[in-house]
Amino acid sequence: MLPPSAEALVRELTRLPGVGRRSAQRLAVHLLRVPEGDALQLATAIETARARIRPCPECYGFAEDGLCPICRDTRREDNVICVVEAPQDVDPIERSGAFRGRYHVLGGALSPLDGVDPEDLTISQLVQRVERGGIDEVIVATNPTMTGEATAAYIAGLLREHTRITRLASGLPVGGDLEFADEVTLGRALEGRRSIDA
Amino acid sequence: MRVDLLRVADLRCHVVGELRPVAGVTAIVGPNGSGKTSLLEAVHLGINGTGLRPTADSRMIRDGADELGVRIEGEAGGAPTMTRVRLTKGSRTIELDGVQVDGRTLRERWAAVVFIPDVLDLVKRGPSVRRVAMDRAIEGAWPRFEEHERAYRQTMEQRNAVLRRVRRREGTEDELDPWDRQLADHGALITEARERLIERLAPFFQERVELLGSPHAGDLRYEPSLPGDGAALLQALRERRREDIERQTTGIGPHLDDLVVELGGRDARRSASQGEQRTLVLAFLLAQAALVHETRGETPLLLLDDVLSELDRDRRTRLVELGRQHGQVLLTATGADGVDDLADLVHALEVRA
Repeated sequence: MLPPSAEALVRELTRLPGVGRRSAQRLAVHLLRVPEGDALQLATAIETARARIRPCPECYGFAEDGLCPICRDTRREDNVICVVEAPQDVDPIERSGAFRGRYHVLGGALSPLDGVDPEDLTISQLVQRVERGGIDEVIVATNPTMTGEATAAYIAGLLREHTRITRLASGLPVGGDLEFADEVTLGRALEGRRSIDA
Repeated sequence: MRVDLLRVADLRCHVVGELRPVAGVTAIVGPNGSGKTSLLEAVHLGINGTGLRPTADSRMIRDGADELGVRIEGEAGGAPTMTRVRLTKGSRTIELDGVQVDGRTLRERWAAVVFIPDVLDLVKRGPSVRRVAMDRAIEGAWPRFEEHERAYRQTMEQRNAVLRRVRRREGTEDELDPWDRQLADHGALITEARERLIERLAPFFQERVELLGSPHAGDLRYEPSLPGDGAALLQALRERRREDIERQTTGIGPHLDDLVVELGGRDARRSASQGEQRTLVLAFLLAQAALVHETRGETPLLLLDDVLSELDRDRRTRLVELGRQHGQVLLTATGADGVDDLADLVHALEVRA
């Protein structure tokens, strides 16, 4: 049995995604055992980040002081927008090095059952960006889940008249084994097959 | 496949228990309340990961205990297999040959066909019980099917949420487009799977109705809400959009399918007697077992709870004989059902209260 204030700390940590009661206890005990300054650094970091991070007014990803670093970068291509669900989805695409355009962060995926409707996402802002002109392609990179697919289809319906809409291909993981692929993945991979160039 | 040993701890009335079924027909015999059905439940939990009834599985934990455990040793997929399932109020752990797995992996290894008295009115009740029966049969023969079922259900709930929203004038009709398309895709897969199921199940069913001693021929007929492919369903969803918005629910698709069970060329819903219904249900289950054998190359376990009590001697013998030819059977019986007169067919194990 922990004293009340330690218990309160455990309870707060349990509310973090992916943290169960046992991990929360371990983290709490750790925070109580390290030098006070070290523990408070975490508190300060949370406080500062919460105070300074704002949605980027252009792409709605994370930004500090106005535009985010990607929207500010003048060397990037302005005519392609890659649409993702969450700010953390930008990172893996950036690391791939295969994309040099701009981003648009929706802030989630449509899920009417959970009360996430078009107006709860930055869909109208995306439409405005496209309507301003100069966009040759919108790549919809929402997750290949039920809600991600629905969001992609909805966006495509809205923008089809204005520009070219593409969807990230889904298929077999590189280095993966055909034998272990599930039917849905394999079916998609077949649909999206391409000819081998000479 | 075959279960050689079952061990249970803290399941319903059993503090600890052990059962060693034979390869043929094992009857678990004992008075009412002695825990016969719990032993069948334990076997099902061990090879399927769930109990026999749709109620919360944690109810199977013995009063006063925190955790129940089941261990099964036997043979499945042509190799010796050991599974362990542990259940607490909030968790379920499944181990297959020492490796922790999910329920689907367990069901891809094992298979069971179950009779519980609750399914007796399969023929006469509303269509939903027959849809569930079709889907369980598909899952038994093609275990991966459960993913499509779940996807269809979730997509429809999303679509219905949009219907309510449009009705409240908070959203516009075009918000339905993306859900219609996905619903049509998943729905078409389900219709196709049920078509294929009934096509392959019907001959087995016809044969088993006869083998169970029915003077009338039995048959199965799939009655889809909308026959055809995804494009047909998508079009139908679009056409009835107005009506669906008005009623705030999706009015077409495989969630409204039915299965017609026929006896003597007539819909058994209207004409079958109690005894005939029982024969039809048992024939359906035995046909299901035959189909699992055909698609997976293995005979599933037959778990039959309290199946003998209402059958006359001739049908009892026919059923047990069919079961024995098929593979391993575990059934429960009170002494009074007369397993005695089946003594040469059945290996009886007594449970004491």
